[in-house]
Amino acid sequence: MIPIEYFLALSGILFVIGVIGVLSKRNAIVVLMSIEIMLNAANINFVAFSAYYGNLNGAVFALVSIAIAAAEVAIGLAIIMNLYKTRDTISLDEINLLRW
Amino acid sequence: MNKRKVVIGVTALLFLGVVVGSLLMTEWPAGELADTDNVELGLTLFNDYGIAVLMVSFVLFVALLGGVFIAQEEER
Repeated sequence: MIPIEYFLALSGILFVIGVIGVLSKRNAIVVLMSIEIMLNAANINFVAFSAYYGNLNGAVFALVSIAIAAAEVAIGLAIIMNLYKTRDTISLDEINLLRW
Repeated sequence: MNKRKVVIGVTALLFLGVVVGSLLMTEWPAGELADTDNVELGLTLFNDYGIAVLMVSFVLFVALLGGVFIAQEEER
């Protein structure tokens, strides 16, 4: 039987990978993907605790969280597309104005 | 630029150490890994959390509209 620590450690490793991506990458799409990795780390925690303790609320919360992540990535990709149209770049270093 | 990446890497490794170390040192309550009952999951989702599902559907709808509005080609 797999101890629950393995799932939690996997979740922590994924979260740290996401943090490194958000902090060190310049490409807006890569940053968005790293945010998704961090959200999925939280989902792994929810599902692991739900499966170990026989409480389905965690799984339901993970489903809701996945739906919210889908909404977020749709808006994020639309914003990145708009940035590319107006600035011809998606490098986060060069996007430093809040006007167009 | 390179120094920044080193700082980020060291900070992330320290964070990883704290997280993994603390979860390994914690005594989790004994639980048994069991298959999720999909029927029960569906019943819980729609019986207990029906309002939440409706709210999520509303959020997804607004996100759909917002995404299309932001990404649309403006006519010149």
